[in-house]
Amino acid sequence: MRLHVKPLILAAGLAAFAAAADANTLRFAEGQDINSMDPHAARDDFALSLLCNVYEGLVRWNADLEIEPALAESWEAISDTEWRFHLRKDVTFHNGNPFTADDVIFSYHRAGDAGSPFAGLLEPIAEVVKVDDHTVDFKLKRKYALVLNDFAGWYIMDKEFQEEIGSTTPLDLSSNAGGAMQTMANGTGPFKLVERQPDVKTVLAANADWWDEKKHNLDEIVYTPISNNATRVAALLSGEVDFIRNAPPQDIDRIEATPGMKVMRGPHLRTIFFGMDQQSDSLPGSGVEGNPLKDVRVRKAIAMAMDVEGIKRSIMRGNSSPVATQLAPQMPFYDPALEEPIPFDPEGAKALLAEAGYPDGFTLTLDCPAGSFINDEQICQAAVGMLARIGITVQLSMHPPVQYDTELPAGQYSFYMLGWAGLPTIDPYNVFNATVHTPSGELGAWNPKGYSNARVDELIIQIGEEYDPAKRQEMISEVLKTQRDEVGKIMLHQQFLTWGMTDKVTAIVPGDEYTRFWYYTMN
Amino acid sequence: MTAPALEVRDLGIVFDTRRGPVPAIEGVSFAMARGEVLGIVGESGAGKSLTGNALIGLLQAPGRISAGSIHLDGARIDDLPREAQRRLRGKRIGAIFQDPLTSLDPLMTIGDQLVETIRAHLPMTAAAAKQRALDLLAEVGIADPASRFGQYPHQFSGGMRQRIVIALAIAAEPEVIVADEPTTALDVSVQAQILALLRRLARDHGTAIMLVTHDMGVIAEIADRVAVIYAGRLVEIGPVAEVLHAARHPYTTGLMSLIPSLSRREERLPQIAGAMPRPGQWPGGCSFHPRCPKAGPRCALETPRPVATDAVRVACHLFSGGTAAAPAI
Amino acid sequence: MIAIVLRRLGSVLLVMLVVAALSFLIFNFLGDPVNNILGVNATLEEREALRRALGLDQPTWVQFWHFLERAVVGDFGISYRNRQPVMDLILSRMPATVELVLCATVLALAVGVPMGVYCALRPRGVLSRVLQMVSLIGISIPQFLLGMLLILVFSVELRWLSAFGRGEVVEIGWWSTGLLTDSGRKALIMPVLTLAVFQISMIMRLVQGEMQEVLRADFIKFARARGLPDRAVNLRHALRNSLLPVVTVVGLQIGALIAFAIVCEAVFQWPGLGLLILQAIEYADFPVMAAYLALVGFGFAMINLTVDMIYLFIDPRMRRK
Ligand SMILES: Nc1ncnc2c1ncn2[C@@H]1O[C@H](COP(=O)(O)OP(=O)(O)OP(=O)(O)O)[C@@H](O)[C@H]1O
Ligand SMILES: [Mg+2]
Repeated sequence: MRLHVKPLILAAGLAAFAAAADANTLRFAEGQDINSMDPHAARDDFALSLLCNVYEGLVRWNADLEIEPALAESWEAISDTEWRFHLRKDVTFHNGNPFTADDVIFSYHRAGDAGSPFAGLLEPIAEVVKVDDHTVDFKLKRKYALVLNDFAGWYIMDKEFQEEIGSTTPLDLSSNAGGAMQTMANGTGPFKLVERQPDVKTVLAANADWWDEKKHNLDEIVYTPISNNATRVAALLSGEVDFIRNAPPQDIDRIEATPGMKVMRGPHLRTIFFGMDQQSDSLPGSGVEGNPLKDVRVRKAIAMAMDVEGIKRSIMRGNSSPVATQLAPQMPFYDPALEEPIPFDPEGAKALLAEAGYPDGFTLTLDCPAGSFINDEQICQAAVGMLARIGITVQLSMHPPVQYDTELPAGQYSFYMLGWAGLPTIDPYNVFNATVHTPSGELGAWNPKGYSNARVDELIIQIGEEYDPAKRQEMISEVLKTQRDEVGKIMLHQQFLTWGMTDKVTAIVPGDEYTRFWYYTMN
Repeated sequence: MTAPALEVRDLGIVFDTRRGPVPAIEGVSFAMARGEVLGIVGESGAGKSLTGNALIGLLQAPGRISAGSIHLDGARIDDLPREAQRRLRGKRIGAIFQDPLTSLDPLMTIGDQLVETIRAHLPMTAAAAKQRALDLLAEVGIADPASRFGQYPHQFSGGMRQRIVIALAIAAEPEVIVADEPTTALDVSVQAQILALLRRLARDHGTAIMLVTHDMGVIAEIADRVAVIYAGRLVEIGPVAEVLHAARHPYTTGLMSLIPSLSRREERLPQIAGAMPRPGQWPGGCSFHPRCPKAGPRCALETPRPVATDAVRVACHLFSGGTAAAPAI
Repeated sequence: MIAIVLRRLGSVLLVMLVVAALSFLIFNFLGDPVNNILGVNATLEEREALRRALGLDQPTWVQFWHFLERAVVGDFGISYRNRQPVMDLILSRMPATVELVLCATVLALAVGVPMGVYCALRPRGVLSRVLQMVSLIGISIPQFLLGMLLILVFSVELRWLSAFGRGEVVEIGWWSTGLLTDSGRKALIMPVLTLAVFQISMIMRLVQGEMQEVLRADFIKFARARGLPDRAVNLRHALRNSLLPVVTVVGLQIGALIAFAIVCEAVFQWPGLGLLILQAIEYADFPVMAAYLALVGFGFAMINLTVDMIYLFIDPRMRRK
């Protein structure tokens, strides 16, 4: 048994209570802790949304979610399948080590070798070649349009440091090596790790040697996980923290009504929808022959029964926006021509159901996660009532997220709630290949037994390979339109981000939920 | 003339209820001389224990003394403050209760219980108190006191426990001991030993013992005098021989006839017909008149006052100089 | 005596085994950790590879056997979530919970017993009636609600106490304590209160009930007849005899407190075992869950053992062979 013997006093909790006075300390609370300081440990947007302040990729997303240079100052395509990146020369890691091409190659292998969580992301890359200390060539296996998008979510680590601490692979659950990255980090980002007690607090300090021009004025960030929503809000209201992401909807009014507090809002890239089994020949327990969900009229009737505006009003308290397709308006390649959602029309829905041969409706089980999406449980309960109005009896089955995320891709549900944001790629391709493509191998993993259209499948592959934006737009719009017309999903809404903070803080609220602290200011 | 060890004058006890005070003891008077054993008999619920509790100052609410007085060696004690009464208890008036099995604290050694009692009353060092405790144990007939001293109550038999209870009661050499059915829970053979022990105490230490019992045999064996209580009133009191063999009050007569060994007849007599009334249900006049074979009209109207003839005092109209007939108005 | 202890320890082991086995069975229906570890975008191949690496592709009983093999030597594996040895993780979280539970127990006893004694001695007094009313509320108020109320009053409105965390802690070897610093002690106030209110009420009512019962006992009456001072009668005799059932219940309650602490720790973000297990459940972190349950089983059994020992100590009647 190994015991940690630590030096005598470790400050914890809210030393910040008093210390916040002169230095600009941003005290930030979140519902959970990140599991590791290792940016390759998981393709976990939650962790990366914080680690983006410590580590950087070759490129990054700016405040408007556009790609901009980061550790690479420029790049060019040598051929259709070969990219050259010119690395920034004046960059050092937090420990003072210089950043070079070797670090890029090391990080490629660490994140992308077989068995590592980023292997899928880096799969299109066949080989990485060092041209000189500050130039790297990436050779692709095939044409692939999203190299830059993907690189914004793949962070560079210091080869020398990682070798020193013996952490050259991210996923080693058989030894303690993963544990080292639990409390250590050595990146190039605007903030560096100064203290970490897992599940208690993480302290970042501004990186004085950062290569980029400093726009923020933060000296320190104290990040505290507070899992209970009400406590987290109370911590904000009591002045113990300055900033919480995702203020619970029921507390938004309270925060805004408190002097010195505000809520900043922004649209989320994630859209919420119901997926349906459109493959099975029968739906056990439905009480009818065959699988009614295979009939587009039935799917359309379900869509017509959904009072999405009502959900926005009474459940989301205005913090949502109905959508017609899976692409949020803030996503690249969004098509405004496809903006019109299927109208709410329960009478029409009933007629349509009768026409499809189900005048008396049928029975469905709706599987729903408890806590994955904002108000997921209430929305599902509302859906039960709405579908009852058109004669469809719905049995609601709630699941803890961990169970849900296992059973859903395994095809155990026939009518289920899901939300997808297309992170970290921020491109329709990611949305389509995970949730629209017919399940086969790596594709359609989150569309089990779901929507399937050969033409759409073909388009999705081409969208991944096409470099010309105009052609991509055309194909993306076709996919969206086809799926909308065939009601491949019952679309609900786009979530809004509601971030609570004191008036002292000025933040940006990007649709991918990343806290890019280098844009934040405090006064 | 020296004052009696204990004297009770016209004692009244009531229970406070929502509907006002209900009398449970009324007009009870008696005295005990030093070294005397006074037996108290009566049916269950007559008020024997109440009287005993009043003597040791342990009447529990809602019961309280409503009339009369109690005198210890000539000094009134019933009106003393709580704390003063507490100090009398155990020191000058000891008590022994019915069930020796439950009278001792099961979690404390008997030695500690003795020492604690001794030191509560006598200014003694721990060592001296322990010595006295050992002496007391020897006195009440516990063999090998030294090794028994550190044992717990459950390690003793019932009879031994009652001896220990007695040792505790006499720890500070009280002048009076109220013994409420001290042998009821014990084997017959053990009963005799305990009674002998009490008798010896009275003789050797001059302790006055009020012995509450149901057992006429016990009375006959060790009491000097006996008092009969019926429904909260003393109906007859006198020397054992006279009361037992020449009972005057019809109730006493009935009571005696219930005792096979005392009655001439061999087969048991039926109980006295009817039941003793509870407090609050006392009939007017003599409480016994509804059951009394000799009751006359007067008995229902007038409560008889105790009348002394020789050494015996009886509360019955048959003996109050008149008849049981209605008084001439 | 030693035989009793040994027999007890044997059953402790059995309890831990059964609990751990059950947890393994239950957790396997909960979902698997692979999604959490790899993220939703992971490929099927990656998932399968990790599942194999974790041994999750094997039958439950094989997994359980491997778990046991390692557990015997104190190795509960590596947490899927924290990537730290489970034992280290549990040891680092234990002090927070133990401190919370012990403080709550001490408080509950220190307040509950005197209150119970008082109410038993003066059952008709005004204060007794008030205490009984309050204790009724204390028993029925949900812990979560109480915690949130305290936070609203003392953190949000008055801003006296911190709504979350342990404050500053001092590390003594592998143990960490908040009792040695001001902020640490202040941080304990609300969680301890939240946890203790139910216990206080319960202990008060228990002590009152038991003591009223004992006060009616013959040996108490006899103790009074012996002329002992009220203090001696009430405390040395009556209270001591009332404490036997209290010891049992308090022992059981300490066990229950470990469970109650989960809610309390969640409300106050108390970095103890309760929070750890909640997170482990959310993450399907099997090694942590199984180790936690085995540990809690062990804790319960040890508490039972201690209760028995205390019984032996208090009650001479139990000492008979
Ligand atoms: N708290 C009380 N409230 C009302 N009545 C009571 C109370 N305690 C005792 N009594 C009544 O007072 C009467 C006398 O009781 P006491 O205990 O003196 O009887 P006793 O003669 O000792 O009977 P026993 O032979 O059964 O011991 C009984 O009728 C009893 O029912
Ligand atoms: Mg009696």
